[in-house]
Amino acid sequence: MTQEIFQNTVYSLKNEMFRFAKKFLMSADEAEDVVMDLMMKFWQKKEELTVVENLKSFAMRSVKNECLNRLKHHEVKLGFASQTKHTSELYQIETNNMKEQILGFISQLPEKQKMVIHLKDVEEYEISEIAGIMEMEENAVRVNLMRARQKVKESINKLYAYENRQIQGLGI
Amino acid sequence: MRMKTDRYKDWESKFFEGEELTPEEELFLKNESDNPYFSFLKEEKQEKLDISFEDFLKKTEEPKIIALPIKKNSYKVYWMAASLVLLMGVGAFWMVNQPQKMETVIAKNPEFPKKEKVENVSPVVETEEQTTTPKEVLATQESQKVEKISDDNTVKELVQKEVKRLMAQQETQSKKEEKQVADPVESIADYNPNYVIINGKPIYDESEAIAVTENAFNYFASNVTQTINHAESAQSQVDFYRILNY
Repeated sequence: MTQEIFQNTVYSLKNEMFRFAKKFLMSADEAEDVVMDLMMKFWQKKEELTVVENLKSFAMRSVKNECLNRLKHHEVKLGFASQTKHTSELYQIETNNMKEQILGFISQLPEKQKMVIHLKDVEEYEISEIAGIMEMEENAVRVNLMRARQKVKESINKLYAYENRQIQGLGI
Repeated sequence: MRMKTDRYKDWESKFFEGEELTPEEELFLKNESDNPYFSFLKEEKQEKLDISFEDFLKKTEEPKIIALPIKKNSYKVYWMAASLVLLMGVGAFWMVNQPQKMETVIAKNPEFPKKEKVENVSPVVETEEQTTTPKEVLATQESQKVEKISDDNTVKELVQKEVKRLMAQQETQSKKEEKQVADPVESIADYNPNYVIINGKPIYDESEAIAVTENAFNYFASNVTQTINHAESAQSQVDFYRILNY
């Protein structure tokens, strides 16, 4: 595999890998570290990568495994805990940024739902591809996607209802 | 216009129910929907990792030095390992020393029975005296019985019987002596150094014991001479009858 082919086929996946890693680790620095480490490994074994059929799925699966390994680490767990505290209900009430609010709703989802909704809605992967990356059945992916979207919708509706009550309260 | 909004609301509800929409429908929702979730998705996809491929290649050429953090737990591991080694050392020391103790115990034990055996030596000899003297007396008593019968039997038969009995007595005596040597504890229990029992009578003095044994031997000798005399007279009678027959 030449340098140019590597750049076009593997290195071009860095943004998707970064976003996916960030969803797991809740830290941009940690996510960047994961992507760079994986890219180094891919570079060292670039000749072996020619055998891989779906490089995109392989790269995302590698991100998932690497992130899960890192999540076992104590410090990352602590960082994750602080991040979830940061996106708690109090924080949601205080902030007016809708993007941060939705990000908080997604981060509170169970891990599988969080990954599936990210891969389907943000990265626009097919259900079969997500099943390959997450090592799940396609039906399980569909169920997780449906539950994740419903929860996000409910959370958004609750937020709207809360804001409406706040506006009405100010009007009185 | 109203038809259009109704249609995308329908797609939106389908979308949040988890149903799969066509790529066109999804694209329309992301571009036209006023739901903040779709605008969030668009913004989310804008996030990028700003590291160029050239920078990445430079990083690949750099030798990667990973500084391993010194864990505090490692000291605990060292202490645990050290204590384990110490325990094993103590255990090995104890295991090595244990057989020596056993040997000393085994070596001490034989000394105790030896002392007993030394004490037994003199009683065994004395018991021999105890056993021999009464049996010799019994032998003389039996020889008196033989004297009565001698009139009816020949001298040779009598002598042969006597020799056989003596031999049998010697064998029984030797067997008893062996038993006494084998069971020294029993002889210790019977033995009393203050006196010696001969013919059921306790004798406290050595000279008295010698006198009793002398009397017994004299009695035995007189019996022997009597039997010999009877035998000679019988022989002379036999010779006389032979002469008569001729």
